[in-house]
Amino acid sequence: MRGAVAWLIGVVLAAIVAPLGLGEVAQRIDLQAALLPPGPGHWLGTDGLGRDLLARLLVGTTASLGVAVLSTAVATIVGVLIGATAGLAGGRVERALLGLIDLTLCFPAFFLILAVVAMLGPGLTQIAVIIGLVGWTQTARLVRAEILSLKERDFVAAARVLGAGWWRICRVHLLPNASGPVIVSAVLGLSSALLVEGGLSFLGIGVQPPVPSWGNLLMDGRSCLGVAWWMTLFPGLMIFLTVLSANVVAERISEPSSIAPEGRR
Amino acid sequence: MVTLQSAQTRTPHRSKTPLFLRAGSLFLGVCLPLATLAAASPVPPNTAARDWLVVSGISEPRVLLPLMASESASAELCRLLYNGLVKYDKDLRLTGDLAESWEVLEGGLVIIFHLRHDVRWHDGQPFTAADVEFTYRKLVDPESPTPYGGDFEKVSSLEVIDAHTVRVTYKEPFAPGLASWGMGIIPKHLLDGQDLRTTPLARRPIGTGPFKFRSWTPGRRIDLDAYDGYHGGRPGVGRYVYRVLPDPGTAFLELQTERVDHTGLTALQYARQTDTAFFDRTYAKYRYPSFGYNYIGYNLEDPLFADRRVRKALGLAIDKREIVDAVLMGLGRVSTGPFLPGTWAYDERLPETPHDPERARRMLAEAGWNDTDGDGWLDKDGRRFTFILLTNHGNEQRRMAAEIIQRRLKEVGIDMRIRILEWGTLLKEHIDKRDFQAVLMAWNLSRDPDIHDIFHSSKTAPGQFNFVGYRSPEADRLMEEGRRVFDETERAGIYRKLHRLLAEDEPYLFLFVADALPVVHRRFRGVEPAPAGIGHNLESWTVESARRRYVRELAS
Repeated sequence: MRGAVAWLIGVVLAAIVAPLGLGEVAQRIDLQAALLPPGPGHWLGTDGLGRDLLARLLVGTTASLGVAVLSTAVATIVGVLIGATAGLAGGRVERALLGLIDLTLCFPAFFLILAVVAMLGPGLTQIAVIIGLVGWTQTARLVRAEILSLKERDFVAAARVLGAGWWRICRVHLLPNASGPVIVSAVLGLSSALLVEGGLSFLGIGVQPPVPSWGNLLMDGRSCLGVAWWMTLFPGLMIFLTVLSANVVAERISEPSSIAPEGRR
Repeated sequence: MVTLQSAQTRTPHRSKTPLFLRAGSLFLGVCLPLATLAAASPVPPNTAARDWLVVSGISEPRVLLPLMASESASAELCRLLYNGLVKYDKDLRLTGDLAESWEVLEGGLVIIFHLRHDVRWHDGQPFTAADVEFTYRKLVDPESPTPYGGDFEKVSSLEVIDAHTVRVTYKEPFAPGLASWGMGIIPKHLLDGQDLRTTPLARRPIGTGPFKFRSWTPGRRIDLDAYDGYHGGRPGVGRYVYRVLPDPGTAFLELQTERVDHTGLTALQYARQTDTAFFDRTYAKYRYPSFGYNYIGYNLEDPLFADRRVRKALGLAIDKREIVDAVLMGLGRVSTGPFLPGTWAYDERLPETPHDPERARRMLAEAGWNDTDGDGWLDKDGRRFTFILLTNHGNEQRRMAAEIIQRRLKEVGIDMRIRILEWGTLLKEHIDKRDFQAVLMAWNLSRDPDIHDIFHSSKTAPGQFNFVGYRSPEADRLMEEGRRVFDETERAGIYRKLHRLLAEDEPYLFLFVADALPVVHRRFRGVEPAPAGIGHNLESWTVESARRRYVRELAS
């Protein structure tokens, strides 16, 4: 758990700091140094154009993590809004929103993303937003379920008796209490968004060169797998460790002891 | 005559196919009654087992009809299934194929073809002049979905004199005319009255070529059997298997396990991964210039590139040698113009553009581009010099070349952005609609240096090949003249002038010609490297009996 948190903090720091300090290094082409194996000077080796892989991995963190965070934010906001509305409103509105959730779930998300990228062209922001717009359903279901059970509780009834409106009840009583599952699903969403970005970049429709991301670094490595193992191993490892850490952290948060079920009233 | 090329090794092309690849014509269903075969063959059926040749390519053919074969995989298989009236031999000289001889009369206005008498379609029917006439009608029929009609527009009439003689008359002298009859001839008796778009023959071909169709497993492989009645002699390869392996890495793994006999390597594989004892023992590697060049095409209607000084400055700012060294591992050469180095049209005396960023900056300053605000980027009238270079996804060499160019242009203050798009999207949404600023692509060229379709000002309509919008009355005149003159020396003079003119005007930034890097399993005998490549006599490769790999399967 500590290792996972430390790794995630390190990755976030890299995403913020690396472009400032290493942006230039990551782009420096040195054809004499092409495909050097890991060693002094280039700790993780170089790519086909002689660029330092370590610098590119660190700088790539920004794009990969940026997409993951932005898409998770979109997914969480949309998910909470729709889930809360469905839970509170009930009746026809709820049925319609549940229908919308099912409809979105029916869409093969990856192909929807492919189609949208084909239409709008590749770009970090649109990819993040699209990943978010197809990934909110889990959050919405969780929030709705939480709210359905919370709104029958005595403290909600008490608040209503005291004259609080639904907006206030929602803001002060319901959402804070539903936040546990939302955080867990956001962290899990973060790791799956990271994988989707990796996949898209691997297919060449994610981040455009020369900006590195973990996915397109992995793709670059594929063509020289037999010559330069380091170009595939290290980006793969970055994705693996980050996704693993996010999952470990999410698991921990979701354990009953970590958040009191009726923590705030 | 020319094809758009998307990838390096075995390339999907679009549109016009290299003439070399457009040969044969027909095909046949799955199994022929033996009696028919025997009756059809001038050579008695031979039961001696012959080995198979397993080939891999990165794309699957779309149709096996030569009139519609617009990308390389289709063209490659059509060459084995069909024949034209003429073909290029190993030294790239035109020689007879279905025609045993021809006469060129009236200064090139009339060609009389004398057809072979011993040719039969894979279904046993005799090949006659009626098939030639039928193919011609389909080529010039505006309803036909063929990109090759343009080569036949100058034909005023085609008469069948007798079953084995055809007379073609041209409206005006047309030098590529004879070579254009390398187009595969299709069978009238099977296609008459059928729509080429929907005919089942497109997937179960019947031709006259050295191989006849056996089976097609979509997305995986196509099998062709030797056609023992082939007029060029009984093929030495018993079966030709074309495997679709879209990823060069996968193809390389298949080579390692000897499950592929013949394919093209990437430069990296050639230079760094094949120097092993196993590989040396098992495969013969070949290397020769490919028949295409890579270039950056500028949209000349974009105000940025309308100024010739800007285009020339870009040429000076980049280092073509460095690209050849880094991207092709030195396995290729710098290109200076629109023809293939080593051919008679290419002017070898033309110097390469040197890498001279200083001069590039001066020329850009002359054109009004200066870094007035000191931010490291050139600007003019308050606008920064920035443009987007498009290229296609799946071609590592192009991506790397683009990144190197981006770096060099940054040194002179030009902000080039790279956008990598899927091949189909790039062509349909950007090239055909002429919605681009600059594009990094390649042309596959035919053996005839006629480049009328690529640079003539009449070919700038949407969907046509002069998508950069190059208009030069002088170049137009040279291209028209080059088509009218038959004498090679005289034509060479014209095309060299054109070469100089295009190098001077730089509607394209001509980059490099990559080497073709094919390998063939060493058990095959008779592989003969030649100017035409190594595949020119593929059907006559043989394997001695002790070294056959697929002999058991063939025993039937």
